[in-house]
Amino acid sequence: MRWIALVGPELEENLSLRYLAASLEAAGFESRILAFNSDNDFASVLRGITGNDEPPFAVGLSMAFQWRAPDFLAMAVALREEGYRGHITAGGHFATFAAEELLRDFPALDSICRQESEATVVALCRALADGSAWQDLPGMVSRTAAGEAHASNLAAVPDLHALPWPVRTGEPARCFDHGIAPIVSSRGCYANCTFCCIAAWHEQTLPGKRYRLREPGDVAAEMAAMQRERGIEIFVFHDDNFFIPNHGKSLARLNALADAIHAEGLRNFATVVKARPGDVTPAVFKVLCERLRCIRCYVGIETDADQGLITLRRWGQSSQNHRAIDVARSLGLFVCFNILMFDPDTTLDSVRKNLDFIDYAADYPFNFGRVELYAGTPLLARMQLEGRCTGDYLQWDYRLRSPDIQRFYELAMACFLPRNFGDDALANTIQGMRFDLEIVRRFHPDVHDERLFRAGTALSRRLALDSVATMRALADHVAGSAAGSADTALVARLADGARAVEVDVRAEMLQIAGELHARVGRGLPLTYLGDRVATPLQRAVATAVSP
Amino acid sequence: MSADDRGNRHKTLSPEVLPAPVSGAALTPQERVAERARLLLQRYRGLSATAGAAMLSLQSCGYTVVDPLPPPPMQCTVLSQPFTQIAVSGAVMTTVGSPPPLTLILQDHGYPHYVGFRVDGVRVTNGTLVSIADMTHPEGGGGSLFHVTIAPASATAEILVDVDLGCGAAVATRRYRIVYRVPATAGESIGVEEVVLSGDGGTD
Repeated sequence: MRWIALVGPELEENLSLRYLAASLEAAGFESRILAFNSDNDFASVLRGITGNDEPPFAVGLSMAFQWRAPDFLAMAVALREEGYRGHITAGGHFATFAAEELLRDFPALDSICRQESEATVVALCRALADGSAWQDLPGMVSRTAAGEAHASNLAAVPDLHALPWPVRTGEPARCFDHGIAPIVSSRGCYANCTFCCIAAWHEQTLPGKRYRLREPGDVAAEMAAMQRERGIEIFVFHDDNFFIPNHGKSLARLNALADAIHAEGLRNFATVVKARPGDVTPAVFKVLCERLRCIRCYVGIETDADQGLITLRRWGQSSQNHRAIDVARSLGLFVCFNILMFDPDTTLDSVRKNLDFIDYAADYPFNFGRVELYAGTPLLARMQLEGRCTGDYLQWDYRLRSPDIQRFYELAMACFLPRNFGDDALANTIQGMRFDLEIVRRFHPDVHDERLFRAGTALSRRLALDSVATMRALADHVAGSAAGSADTALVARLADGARAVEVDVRAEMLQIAGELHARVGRGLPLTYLGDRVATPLQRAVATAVSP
Repeated sequence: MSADDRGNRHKTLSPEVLPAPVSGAALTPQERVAERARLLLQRYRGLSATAGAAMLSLQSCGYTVVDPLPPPPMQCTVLSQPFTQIAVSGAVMTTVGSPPPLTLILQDHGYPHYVGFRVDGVRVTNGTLVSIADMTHPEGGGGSLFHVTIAPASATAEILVDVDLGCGAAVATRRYRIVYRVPATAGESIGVEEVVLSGDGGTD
């Protein structure tokens, strides 16, 4: 048996690995996906490769997320330590942009596959199987005899219509026993935000356009197959942006997809999508809700401050953010969003503007944090040019523009780390409860209870408003006093208050989930599942382990 | 193509999560990765037969499990070597304080989770014990979690922490070495290394 191990996060079905697996399968290669979601998976992945009677002839490491790169590099080192002698390659956004540094610093890696790698991985495996040279295959980065990185030309971007559908083995995720699976109808995003490595990635291969679309009929056929073969009812569109930069064309595309889905005979389904605020118009979203049966839309608000909109190159205005919320409210659509509260140019005024926006949209769950500097992004390049980066390519850091705003940021993190980023971070898990409510409303209208629905909305509103109030107290404090011992006392008081609110909210959230569970009488609510499994993606801080 | 079982147990609809802010580290990328690989390998190679069997047995049930809720936690007393389940890490959760306090985090690792652990006592050299918080949650597939908060004696202290662990009648003392540094930002991780005690470390 000659097989390839594909190692990566698999919290949801990892479509990047599953697309690779499908292309490998079409080329006659067997592959296995080994989930590496956290330290807890380290032993099983290592054993699955080195403990196998016939180890794989190649290992592919999915390095899309910069903050998890140390985990995957440690895995490469550990594989060599345990005697693995096959080829180790890596791919994904981070590996593509940091290929030179990775090959320079980590001899455990043999190569990097840059960009969308369906064809590159197949060609690499063919060459390895044949014993022929692979170094100059399109998309490959190799190491020269002198130890330097050598990049061949980029491979042509795949024709999305010609790609085999991603492999769909295994049991899907479920919410109240309704099957959930991700799917993509496009790759890329038309926007070009300074902090976004997705935009940087697609700008590298398709400058100026940055997105490609699948044919609606092909997408609908895949959805129908997923429902027929695996019972999927909830389709999570992981398109970087489900929409295109023209409302009329977006509307036509959504209608075409809805027509194709109808023609395929799908009737009982729901969708989840992502949008930019400017994509949210009454006409487009009416079709999204009514014909594509959308039950959740992540709207990339990111910032509502004029300063932030410029720094992050959002190509939008505050009014569009507000309109997106207004449209969602008018349609009864559940949305959620993130706010990048702190960026390299943030001021106290921009923080206050963002808090005002959260206040305005408090009936929808959100999280907030700092803009991180990702490989390949214009923002990282700018900060390097300005000499403001500290750390290294695995973990860039920076200080905010003024001492006051840096102090504010540190005080905010001291108060909000557990809520926003800790294990079971409530800012994330409460989204699961809201999703449960939507599932019941859509799939179980007979047991839908408007009182319970309103209680769930009120609960996430309570958490949002508590976050706003705490942040405003911190902002007033920083604006009105110099750094000193009062900081410690205030943080202690506010953090205590925040934890107390979280205890209350969590208890009520679980009570709502429990009541939904009892009413539906099948499967489990996402509240229970997300409580355990959504955490690893948030833990950017490397964790030491003991023997 | 076949898929790994463990991944399927966990599948969910992930929110669009923001990564926690991190700060630059003092070590080089190679040093950091080597240290991480060393610690993970140490744990991998030191797995007890029981813990290893638990992880392997889990692999064989994943894709056939319809209900993806993690298994409920088990009592640590069923383990022949319960304290091998405990992993340790460190973080400085706040930049407030002179120097800011550090948190030693002790939690059970792997699946299934185990509960019933105790922290019977903590002794600190080059620092002061501030608090021991038992944050174990046995419900909903939970697990064991203890936060030991320590005020360092100085901004560059090398701190030794002796932790008396308990599980039923079994007890053991674990010693950890922490080279403290003042963090640039709240939430920064801090290296924790176990020091093997020469004498009888306990009954496990």
